[in-house]
Amino acid sequence: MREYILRRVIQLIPTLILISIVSFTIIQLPPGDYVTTYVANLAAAGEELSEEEIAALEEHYGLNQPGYIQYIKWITNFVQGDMGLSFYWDRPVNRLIGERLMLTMIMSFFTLLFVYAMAIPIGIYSAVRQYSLADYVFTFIGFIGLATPNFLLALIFMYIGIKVFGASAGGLFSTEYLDADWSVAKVWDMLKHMWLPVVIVGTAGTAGTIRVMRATTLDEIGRPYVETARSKGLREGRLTMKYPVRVALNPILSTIGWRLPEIVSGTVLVALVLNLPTTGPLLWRALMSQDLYLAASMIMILSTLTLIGTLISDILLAWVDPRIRYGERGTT
Amino acid sequence: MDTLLEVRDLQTHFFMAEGVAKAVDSTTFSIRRGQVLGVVGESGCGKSVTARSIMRMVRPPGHTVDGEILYTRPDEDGQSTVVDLLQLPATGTEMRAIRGGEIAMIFQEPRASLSPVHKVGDQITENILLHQPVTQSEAEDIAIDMLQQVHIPLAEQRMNAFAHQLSGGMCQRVMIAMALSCHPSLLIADEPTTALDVTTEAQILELMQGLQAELNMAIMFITHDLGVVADMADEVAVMYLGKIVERGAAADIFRDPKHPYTIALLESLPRMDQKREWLQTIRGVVPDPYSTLNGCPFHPRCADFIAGVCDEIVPQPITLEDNREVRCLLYTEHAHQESSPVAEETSHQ
Repeated sequence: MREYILRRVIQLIPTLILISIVSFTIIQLPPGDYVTTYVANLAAAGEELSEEEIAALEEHYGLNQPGYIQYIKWITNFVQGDMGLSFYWDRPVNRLIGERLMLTMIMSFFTLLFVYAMAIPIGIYSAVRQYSLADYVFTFIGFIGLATPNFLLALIFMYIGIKVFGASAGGLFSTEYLDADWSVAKVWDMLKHMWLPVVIVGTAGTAGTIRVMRATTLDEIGRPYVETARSKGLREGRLTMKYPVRVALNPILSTIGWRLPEIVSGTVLVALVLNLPTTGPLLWRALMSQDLYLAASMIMILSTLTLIGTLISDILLAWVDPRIRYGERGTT
Repeated sequence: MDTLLEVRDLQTHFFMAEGVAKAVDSTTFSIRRGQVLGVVGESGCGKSVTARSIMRMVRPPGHTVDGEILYTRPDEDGQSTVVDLLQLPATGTEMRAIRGGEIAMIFQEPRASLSPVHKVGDQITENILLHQPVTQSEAEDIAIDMLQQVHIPLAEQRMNAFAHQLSGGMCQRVMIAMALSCHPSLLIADEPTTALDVTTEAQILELMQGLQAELNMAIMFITHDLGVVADMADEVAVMYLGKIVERGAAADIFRDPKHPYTIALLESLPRMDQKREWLQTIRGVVPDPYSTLNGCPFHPRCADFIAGVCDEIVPQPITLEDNREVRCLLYTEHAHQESSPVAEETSHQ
């Protein structure tokens, strides 16, 4: 097992190098760079820049150098933990991402909890009582949840919030805490604001996970080993949890890792609509303004987390499923 | 006669969108203590559903709608009481105590019948802890002892094995160890050797015979293979479309089959003492379970079909000499209207 993990970690390195090159290149692919966008924006506002000023800007941002030099500079600093400067915000990427990343992670963590706490019991219930009234009701709600875009749900909630409660549903903090330092009161204020985006972002995930949980449980419930367990005289409830559900949880566990990149990117549209200080809107703006280092760094973080997430999934799966754990050695 | 289990007029139907499938349709038989009953028939004739009805493990849309399953339970004081299993709640305490404790079951696909994510040792101890007042470590000792009894080498190490690490034959041995760990008075074996190769099949059958004699337990042995039954069974019940068409002592049935279906089944067996180019087959297939055939359910495939009789009258079980029972119109007075060789033979006796 230890050897397996070590081997997988070493395999990550070439993949990461490749990803860093690709993500850097892709951001540079559209014609022009940050300075061109900047100049165009100024021109639209009626302000002209001279050739010298443009050249000075390019010099300032290091955009006059060839692409591979820019890449090498960026990646060397990145490995050392310095992600460069954001052109648009004129601030170090590290500081820009820092707090947003933490808030995003907290929010995503609660979303994940919400999704699993709702979806797993409902999925099991729907499978055990297949075609019951409750199963149909959950299925109906689930499909609505799947089919409704999250940002639309966010808009509806905001509308209700303003119409019914006279309060804006956006943001993660009340105005008085916006720029305040972190304190117990601020955390409490954040938690009070957080449930709404958690429910909105979690709806689609819950609906999807219910379907997965229901389908895999149904699949397992009819297996011969469940019948064996029943033939021992086990109680039905105990039997369901110990055998089919235990096996049906494997695909859920094995996809936990894939949610890591979601934890960082957040859900961009919902975050934009609800005006959340998470990383989603930041990435969106960085891509729009060709903010090279900010965008590349964020994509790099996302890719790294995707890889780590996949690794965690594989390790988890090997841990819970002996068929995979011992699979390498073959049957005895 | 020391009857252990008596099934009377059992009816288990499946209520499907296509109609009602009468998987088990008024089946009657009994099993004596320590006796092996072979239940034979083609796929889909209701053998497995009969077994699951006894275990009260029929899942919706299947329901046991009528009948009696009289099971003789030993009391603490050496006396015995008769309970009708169909009167007990299927998931209630009493039925669960019987299931796994007094009536155990093994299945067709041994590897799939063991949980893929639990150690085989834990699966055996679970059964012991459910039915016996022992501690965890005592249960483990019993489990190891059982694994040795079914001739699994390195039993102690095998406790930690998972199903996928064992061969099919080994898995079936584990299943047998698990089923017998609480010394049931009846073991229901639902095609336990069908998924195994012939050599393993022979080993498992030998093992079951040995344990059966040793533990004085009754076995209801379900199979589609008459050859397997010939070796093991004291009595044989032949099923066709949810009904038992013939039953009697195994030796009698093999020597002198009465029902045309049994005759056809026996003729379709390959034999060492006859050189034949082709195996005999039974023409046609088992009708689909939703069909409502008039008369005898076997008449469309029967070699001795009597027009106007077999397709109109539903045959009732007839008791012949030597405690044999056959469900065929050839053995009733209806048959005398026509000249049938089998009927004549019977009337002479």
